[in-house]
Amino acid sequence: MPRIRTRRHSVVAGAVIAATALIVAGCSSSPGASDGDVEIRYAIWDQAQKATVEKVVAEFEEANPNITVKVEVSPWDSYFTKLRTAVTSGTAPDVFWLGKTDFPTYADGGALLPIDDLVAESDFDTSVFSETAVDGATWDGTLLGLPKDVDSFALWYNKTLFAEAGIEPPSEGWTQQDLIDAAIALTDKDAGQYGMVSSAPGDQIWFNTILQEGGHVISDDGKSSGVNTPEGIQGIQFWVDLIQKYGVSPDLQQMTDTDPTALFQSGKVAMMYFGSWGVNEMKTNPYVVENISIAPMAEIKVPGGTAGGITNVIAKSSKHADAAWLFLQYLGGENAAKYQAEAGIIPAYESAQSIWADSAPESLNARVFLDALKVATPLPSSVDVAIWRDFAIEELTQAWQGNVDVPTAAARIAEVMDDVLSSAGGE
Amino acid sequence: MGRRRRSGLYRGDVLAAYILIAPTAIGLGVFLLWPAIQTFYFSFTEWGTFGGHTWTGLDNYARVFTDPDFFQSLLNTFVLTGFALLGVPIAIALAALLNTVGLRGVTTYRVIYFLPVVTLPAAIALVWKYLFNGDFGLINAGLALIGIDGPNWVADPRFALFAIGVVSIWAGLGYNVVLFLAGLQSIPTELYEAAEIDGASKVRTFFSVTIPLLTPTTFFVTVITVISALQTFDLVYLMIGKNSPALPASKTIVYLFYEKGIIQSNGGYAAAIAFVLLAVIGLVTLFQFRVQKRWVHYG
Repeated sequence: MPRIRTRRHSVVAGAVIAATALIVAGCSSSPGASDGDVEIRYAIWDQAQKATVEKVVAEFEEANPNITVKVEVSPWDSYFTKLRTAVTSGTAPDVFWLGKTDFPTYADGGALLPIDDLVAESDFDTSVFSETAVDGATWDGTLLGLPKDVDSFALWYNKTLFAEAGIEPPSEGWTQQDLIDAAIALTDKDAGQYGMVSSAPGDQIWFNTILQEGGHVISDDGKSSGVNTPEGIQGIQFWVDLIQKYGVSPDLQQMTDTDPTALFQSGKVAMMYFGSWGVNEMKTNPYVVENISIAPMAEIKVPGGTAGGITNVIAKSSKHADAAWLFLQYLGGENAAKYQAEAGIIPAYESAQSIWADSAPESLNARVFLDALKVATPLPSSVDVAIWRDFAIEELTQAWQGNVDVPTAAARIAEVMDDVLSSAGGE
Repeated sequence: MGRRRRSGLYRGDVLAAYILIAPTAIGLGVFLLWPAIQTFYFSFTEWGTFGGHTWTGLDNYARVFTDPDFFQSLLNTFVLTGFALLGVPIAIALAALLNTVGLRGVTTYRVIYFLPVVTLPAAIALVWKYLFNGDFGLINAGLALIGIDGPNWVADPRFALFAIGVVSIWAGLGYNVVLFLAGLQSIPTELYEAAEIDGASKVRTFFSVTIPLLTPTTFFVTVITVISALQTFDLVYLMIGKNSPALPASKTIVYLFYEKGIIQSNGGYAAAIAFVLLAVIGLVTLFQFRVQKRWVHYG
């Protein structure tokens, strides 16, 4: 009898080993397609652009039947966290988006594949992109990606609310004081209506007002911060005043609970500064098409603003650099630019930019963004931007709530920025 | 001959036993033990932007103990643990009520109470975030009915921790109730009969018979609840979020670990934070075990 017990145990043990082996075998990723067929991964963060991206991918796959592109969308908040982990572990997506803010970190960190040689070999013409866009994709003299789009900021306003209150809508030549006056007239807290959104520090819209005051966020040599200069402080003070002094904006806590864009699209806020990508995001909302229009940002002292933009890059660790380069070229091509433009994103491909303006709903007056691009400068950033950007957001969050005055916050931010900027390598 | 047979059998049994526990043991070793050892090693290093690390000795630990952010997070975590402990008496009361003889639909109640435990934390956080919304949430709508102007619960630094505490009690209640139900079943009914014969009221019985005999379960639940609460992360990550003004007042230690290690890629410092947390949990649990002699009645 003891013998039988042993045998049963061995049978069970054998089954366990077999099961484990099967599971382990099943877990390992299958090579998928065979000989020559390649799958590359493309990481993006904007769900609103996914449809356009899939369209481009479909065309590319048709022209290149042995390459499959897998599009991976991660929400903005977690995109870079995921990306950083992936790059560190060598499992980065083959092609991915990098915005102006994070480009220096990845460029300097050696995570991107230089494409100068590839461009020369394939005779790719980079002059189709605006010069600033190509500059933004270059680091230390090496081209590290192809520009995808450009963006700028403008004043979005609810023309219905303006009409109901009998106030002249924003127009060319509107000053900051005009904006404040209109915002005060359009605010009715009891009715839950606000004149102007004081965009959260994380949106970096305060960069624009600093530039328009004649100041700078990062000095030209990239070594010091301009945040605690009088222009910098005033540029930030405007936003804090909207909440604390004039009372025309929902406070930061309200805007953390409910997204200001949602408030704007429901007619609860009359004005907000927002980016050109809002055209893509909001043009399908009938309320927006009917009631919203766009004007240039209010004038302060100097015309200016920040121009962001996404660059498509290839990961240095990519195992399919050839396929990735083919895809990158297609992404930088005319068709991709056209689809983007029609969808509401300003392409970096210059000749397609007018398509963008024409495809936006007439009522939105989207040309304003193209005008803004003419006076805009690249979005300020640096290597290790995560350190000072997050610190700035934390400090300014306190300032927005009135817990610390702007000069003190600006001084602290400038200190951290100077520290990071002076120790980082230059461009 | 009998002895030889027994030893042969023993060897076969042992081998089979090892094979049977191997998958779990290997899994624990590879995914739990080895990363823990690696993390301990990394806590003495500093990381580069995209990989690579240099030895820095005790620098990270020194930094942890002089970091006001760390102490604020520790305080937040302790407050949350306090909230979680408030859920224990609630669970006892609920379990006692559910244990009433002749209660109809006990199974239904048990399912309802256990549902939050098996619901995705993301779903819980999302729904409660909407309930707590300052302008449009149901909770403030209810408060408005009785004339109270509710705050922005999850965005206000003064109330965020309270909001998370409420959700964490709600989410963990079912688990504790099930444990207490089991504990209640183990109390001999003769004791209840004896108390009834002696003329004790229901309340008196509850406090003199049920509670003392429940203390082993209470001890277990308390230890588990504290260990779990000290590691709260998902509710803070999902309900508060990165740029919220309420974050510094509600950041927990594990969130700080995530912030330093994953967002800011400062892996060495994060590893040090993780091990300090391990020490804290160990000390708190040790303290609980020491003190149990004073209040836990076994047998």
